[in-house]
Amino acid sequence: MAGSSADRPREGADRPPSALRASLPLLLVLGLLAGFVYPTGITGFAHLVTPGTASGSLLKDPNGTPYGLAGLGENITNPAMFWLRPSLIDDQAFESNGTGAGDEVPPGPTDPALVNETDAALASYCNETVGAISIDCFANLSVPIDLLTPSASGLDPDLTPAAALVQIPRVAFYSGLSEEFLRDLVNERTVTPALGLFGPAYVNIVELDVALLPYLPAGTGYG
Amino acid sequence: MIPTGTLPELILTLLVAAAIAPLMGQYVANVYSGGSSFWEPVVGRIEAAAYWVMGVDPGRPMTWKEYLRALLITDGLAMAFVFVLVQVQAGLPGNALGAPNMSWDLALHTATAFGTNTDYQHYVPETQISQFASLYGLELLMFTSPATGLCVVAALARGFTRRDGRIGNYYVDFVRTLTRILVPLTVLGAIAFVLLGVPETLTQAVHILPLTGGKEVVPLGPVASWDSIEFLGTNGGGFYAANAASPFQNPSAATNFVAILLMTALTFGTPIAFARLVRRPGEALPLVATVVTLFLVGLVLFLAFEGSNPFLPATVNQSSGYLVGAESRFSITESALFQFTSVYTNTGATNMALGSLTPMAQSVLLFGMFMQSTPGGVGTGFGTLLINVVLAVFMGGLMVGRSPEYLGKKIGMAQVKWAAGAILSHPFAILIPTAVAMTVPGVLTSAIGGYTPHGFTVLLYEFTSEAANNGSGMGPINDGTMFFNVVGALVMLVGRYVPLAAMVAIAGSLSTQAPHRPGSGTLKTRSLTFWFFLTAFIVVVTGLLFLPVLALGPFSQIVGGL
Repeated sequence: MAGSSADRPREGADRPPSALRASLPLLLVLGLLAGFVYPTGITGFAHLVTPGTASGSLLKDPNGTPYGLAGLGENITNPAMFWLRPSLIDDQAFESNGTGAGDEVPPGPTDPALVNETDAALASYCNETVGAISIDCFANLSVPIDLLTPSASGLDPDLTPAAALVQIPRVAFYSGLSEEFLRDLVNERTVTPALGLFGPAYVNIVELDVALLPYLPAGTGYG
Repeated sequence: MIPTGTLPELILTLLVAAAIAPLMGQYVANVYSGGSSFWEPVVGRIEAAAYWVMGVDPGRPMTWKEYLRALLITDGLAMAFVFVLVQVQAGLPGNALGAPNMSWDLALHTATAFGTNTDYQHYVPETQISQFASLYGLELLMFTSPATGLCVVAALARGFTRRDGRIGNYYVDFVRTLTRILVPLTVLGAIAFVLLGVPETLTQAVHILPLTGGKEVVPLGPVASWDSIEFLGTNGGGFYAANAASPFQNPSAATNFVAILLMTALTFGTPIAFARLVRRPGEALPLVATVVTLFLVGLVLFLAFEGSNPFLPATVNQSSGYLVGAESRFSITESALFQFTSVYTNTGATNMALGSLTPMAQSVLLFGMFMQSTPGGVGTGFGTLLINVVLAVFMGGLMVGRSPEYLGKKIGMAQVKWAAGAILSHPFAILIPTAVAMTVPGVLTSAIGGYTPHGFTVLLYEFTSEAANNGSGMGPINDGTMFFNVVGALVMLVGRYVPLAAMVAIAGSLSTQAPHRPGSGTLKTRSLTFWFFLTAFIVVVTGLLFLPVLALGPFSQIVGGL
């Protein structure tokens, strides 16, 4: 196995083998293990025990068309439906050709843009709401921060229950549905902490809007 | 203010992590002292076959120079392979989304980042790497780099126990680390992630028709198996650009919890493993106490600073914490605990947008990467702690007129020189590139659009993260350029291999000494005083080296805004 040609890169048989001689086969085998055996093995296991979530939890409408994946947000702007957090990436999120990860991030904590963008979100929220219920939105409302500011991933489909509930006057006005009905719908869809301990309470807005759709007057959903 | 309802979960998570670490420590010590495993008959044969294929005599221990040489060549070869692979990935199979070949400088940065356990990503995973290169290239490095780190713990321990100038056989340590520690634990972690709903498929993308119109391509892949080694090996590179904020990589509070446990398991376990390997289990106490003290103080500060941002108007209700750049499926406490743990273990995975953190929270993260040892990355974090111990023992000995000894070995000129070199390489690798980037015309403007305190923080964070082999990134910064790729690769190499060489050399220089019986003049290290002294030593040295740059970045943000 060890060639005896002088000192480099191999050394004599009873000497320690040269590092190259030992490292190359080690890395070859390890590459196959890490790149093929390990992920393929775990995939095989996953498709046996959790076939649904292993392939990404595809959400399908009654016709079988895949409209989303669990945990993936959408940019919903229809005032008759619930809105998500503002996102910095559009629907083409995964196809965009970014030049470096971290290009699209929320503004820094003391950046005036943070206040400006938050104000803009607040204004667009209030304009719709003021049209609906004529209150002094800026003075009286305390709008939950998550409704006004972006998440880390930009894909976040969830809101705190407070941020969903605060939208009810607007959704009720534009959809013609009663506030009580909408409140029940939100409460029904609120995920509570597991064992009362793990995780915050939150509502998946994409799924909430899918549940809301059948109750909306024809042609007023999405768009 | 952090919602108080989330505190029971926080405490429970910390307690579970605290229960696992000593078990891991015992287990790791058993592996490196040649103990047998629960699946010895199988694993023993696999290892024997590996040694035969490699032509290695497992019974032959190495000098520190042989050990270091084997380590460097193994790491170097692995990185060289990935450097080539990502430059030809477009023509290889497993590239359904059509990732182009990487430029040489981006390839250099990527290979170095994963090979040094940094995993800083200047490329966008969704569009710029093929599934094939991800698995056969990056995932290979995600196994080799933590293995290299752990080997150093074994080598350091042998420096204290042996007197024949040999610190073990690198290949034996490396193979056993993989077969007995990393592979079994990674498989367990991957199974947990699969059961908790993380995608794991060989399909590379799915097409969907969103309800709001248009169509989307969503990349998928073996995410659960990636996650497991990402966290356990304190790698931290994301399968997605959003990393652990992505709903696929980290879909729930449960996966967040498992990720935290994986990051803390080995990193907090190594001081315990070391103390058992040197056959003085009690000596783990001051080390663990120091690490835990600094970790908890940092955590409390980080949580406090993420409670709210006073800069926002009062109309914005921040009762659920400062959620900008945090995900709604996690409470702010969960996000913050993950993020803090990830940075302090030098994993570098992100589930928050770091640029959105409040300035003081950013300082807390930076300080953790300046210290690198509380607990720091797998193996290397402990090595850095031991380097601090060497210096603290030496200085403490001089201060009180005791002979500087640690675990029965004299700490002399040779060890202190190496330790000081390792400690000083850190500010060298951070401050010089930051200063260069600030002064080279064009670089500053193209990277952060001109000087602002926040921009400076972002720039400082980039090089700090690379030098500490952390890998978390703060935005916004345009760092996919030739300057940042090449300089970044150099920073990561210095940040990794100067301290590693120093650790192996210290082990080597101690391994030639005959052990000393402790006399009346010996500095006692198993004591409350030493715990306090070591903690203060780390904080003071780090503060002296780095407080001025914190003043230029995050502190000025508070005073001057922006």
